[in-house]
Amino acid sequence: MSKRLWIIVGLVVVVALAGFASLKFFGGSDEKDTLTVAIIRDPDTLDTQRTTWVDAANDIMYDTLVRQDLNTGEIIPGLATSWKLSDDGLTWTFQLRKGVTFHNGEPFNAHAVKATFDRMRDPKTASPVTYMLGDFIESIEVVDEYTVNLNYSKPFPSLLNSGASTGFLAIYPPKYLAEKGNDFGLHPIGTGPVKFVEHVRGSHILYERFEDYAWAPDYAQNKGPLNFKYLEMRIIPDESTAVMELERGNVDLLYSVPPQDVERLAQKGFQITKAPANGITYWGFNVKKWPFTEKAVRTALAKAVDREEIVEYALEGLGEPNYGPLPSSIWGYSEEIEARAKQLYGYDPEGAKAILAADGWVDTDGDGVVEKDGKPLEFKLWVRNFPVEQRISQIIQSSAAKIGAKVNIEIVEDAAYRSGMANGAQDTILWEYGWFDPEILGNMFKTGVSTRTWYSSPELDELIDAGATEVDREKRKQIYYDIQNNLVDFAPWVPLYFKQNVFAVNPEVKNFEMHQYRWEQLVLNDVML
Amino acid sequence: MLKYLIRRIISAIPVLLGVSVIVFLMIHLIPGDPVQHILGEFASPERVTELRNQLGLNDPLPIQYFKFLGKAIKGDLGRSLISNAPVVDEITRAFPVTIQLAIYSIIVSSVIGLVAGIIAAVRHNTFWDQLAMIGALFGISTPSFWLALIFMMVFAYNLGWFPISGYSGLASLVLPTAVLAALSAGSIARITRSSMLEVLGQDYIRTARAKGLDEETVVMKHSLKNAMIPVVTLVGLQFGALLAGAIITETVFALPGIGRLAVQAITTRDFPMIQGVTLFVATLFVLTNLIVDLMYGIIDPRIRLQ
Repeated sequence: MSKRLWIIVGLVVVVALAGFASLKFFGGSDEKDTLTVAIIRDPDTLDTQRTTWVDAANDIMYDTLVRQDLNTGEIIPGLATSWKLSDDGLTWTFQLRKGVTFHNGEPFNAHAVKATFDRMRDPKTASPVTYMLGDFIESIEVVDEYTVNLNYSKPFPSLLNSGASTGFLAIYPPKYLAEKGNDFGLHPIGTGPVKFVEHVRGSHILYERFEDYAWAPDYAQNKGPLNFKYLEMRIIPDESTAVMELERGNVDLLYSVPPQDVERLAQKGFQITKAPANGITYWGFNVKKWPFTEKAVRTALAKAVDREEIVEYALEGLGEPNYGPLPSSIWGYSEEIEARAKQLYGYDPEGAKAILAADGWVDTDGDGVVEKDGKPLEFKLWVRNFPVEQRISQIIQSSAAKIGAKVNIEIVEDAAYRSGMANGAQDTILWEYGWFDPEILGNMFKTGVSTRTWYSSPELDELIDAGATEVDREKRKQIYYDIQNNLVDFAPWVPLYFKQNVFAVNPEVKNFEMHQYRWEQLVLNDVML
Repeated sequence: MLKYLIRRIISAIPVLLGVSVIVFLMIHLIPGDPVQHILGEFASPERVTELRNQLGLNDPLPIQYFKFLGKAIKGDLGRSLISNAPVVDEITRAFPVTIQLAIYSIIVSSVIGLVAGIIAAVRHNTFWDQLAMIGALFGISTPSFWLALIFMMVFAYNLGWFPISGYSGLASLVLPTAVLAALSAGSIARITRSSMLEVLGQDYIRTARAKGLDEETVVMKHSLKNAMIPVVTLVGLQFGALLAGAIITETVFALPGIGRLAVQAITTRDFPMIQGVTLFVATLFVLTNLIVDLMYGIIDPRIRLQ
């Protein structure tokens, strides 16, 4: 071998070694003043009026009029100290907290509330979530410095449960907002416990403690500024990478731990906390398409699927089977309806076969797939590119095969999935929903927006309208029972389970408590590093 | 030479125009549009139509295209429909990560690939040849996500030499560079070997040896230079591909590079972002090709640049 070649090789080795040596002292600093959270998803924008997705990353800088208690789920004061719905149900009145300032020093008052909500309603904002304020809002009225009225043409009883306690209706500083317009999300300002520092897309979002903060919700012991200086959200799209970062101590808190790692992390001393999802994953049928137009087919397929098996094998036990339309975490859930749904559609493959046979489905050509009028019971199942959902789809596929139905799994990319559903192109879907009020059922099944299953019924539409505007809580609950019973009777979908969201927390982080109703809201007021 | 450069740059314009037309048509032909993403699933059809009008997505395609082109010529690639951030800003933020990664990987993989390829050719049919080629086979056939996780597990998680993920300066690029270099070093080694073997069998090499030149001059000067043309072509192609962003490696290592920017833009159907990123990457690709062509002339003076 030539001399010069060896010299080159030698040089490369030396450079590499030098590199190693100089890089070794990369590690944590001595005094810990940053809480690092790993998140999978980079938020589209931090302007919560211009997105359909709010989680800790774009919620933590803001406060909302009301909050939901961590453990009881009661609506408690936020930026509003008290509230009242007028007797005719058309006016919500909020008394606002005094002495609150935004991160830029602007005072918080009724004008801020009005400016924030007016901006949301402005067509220029193109807010996808105006319905959070209610479709029938007429005006936002400043009564005095600390009193604000929301006036409606039809009652909007779910305001507190849904919009007003979520980041979608976070309150923004009016002057700054007017200045920035749609650029607000590039450098947002709120009244929350941390203020925005920077957002490097695909890398991280950095926040700094807001020193003037003194209005933490009732559930926090510490009403003042946070106990640590910085909050960093690192965007780590790969689950295995995030778990390694947590184990090495570079990440303190990990959102949605992969099911297979939960056990191991717990054994290593990490704090594992869980909170149920506010919604369910379901198998939806396009009821406009044959054979899903036939109740017998829908019923048989529902009975073919073992929800227990799905939870055990696809979710590693981190969830609960669900048979009715609502999970127990959403107000309006009923044990009776759940029991009735389970009795009608619980796992019973023999029963499913009998139902199909009675409806005229027989396997005439001996290929294991039943036919009716010469057409086989064969259809597509759309799934997103998530490992868990793919495992579920395989379980569904093999369960359906046992009653003579052939399921072809198709992995569909998100945007194509959505536009496909909007055009009614799907046969069956594996999809999920999550919300805080049973009004979500209206959002999914009302004629005109019912694109997941295309189920549409005038009777149901009437109930949905009634439920959305009924002021009396007991009557409203009864309406949602009727809606759920209607869905159970028709069975446009097979509810499968609600999952447990799992957080893993570094043992050195003290006093972290997970919100049992709003897993997407990070409660950091009492956290000590 | 200058004339040649100018001609090449002018001839790149139709290429870029073609790319922009194809990308534009493609994103409008595949199902899904940004409005559906922005408005979510519960939007009424009226809201969808309204926003589509507002964003100009209901204009005829040629009009939309020329609007985009008119701005792009002035260096304005528009704003993201999703985050409202200027596309140019997002590209300038992601590009440093990608270009560093591309340059480091191509240097490392070229050095390893050339050395392995030359050794394999010179020591043809020996243990060293077989070792180099088995190594190359592994490099080519190993999935990048697997290699990335293994490197991360060993060098970052267990040994703690490098950060596990994220972009925090040079140290954080060592492992991703190693992954990408391992993947392309394999093909560079193989092409170097076969190209060298071909040259080593030529008459002029026999002549060189016959006139008493030492082995080093024969290998490094007479053979290597003549064997470089296909190698340079391959390196150029690989570099171009690296500039488009190594999506899987960037994802596993949580690096904010061009690849992830592009993927996020595609999944949200962020049209201006997709167009901007593609046009930018295509421009770089054209430039890389130009550099490769210039290199041909340096390596082999018989190739005239005209």
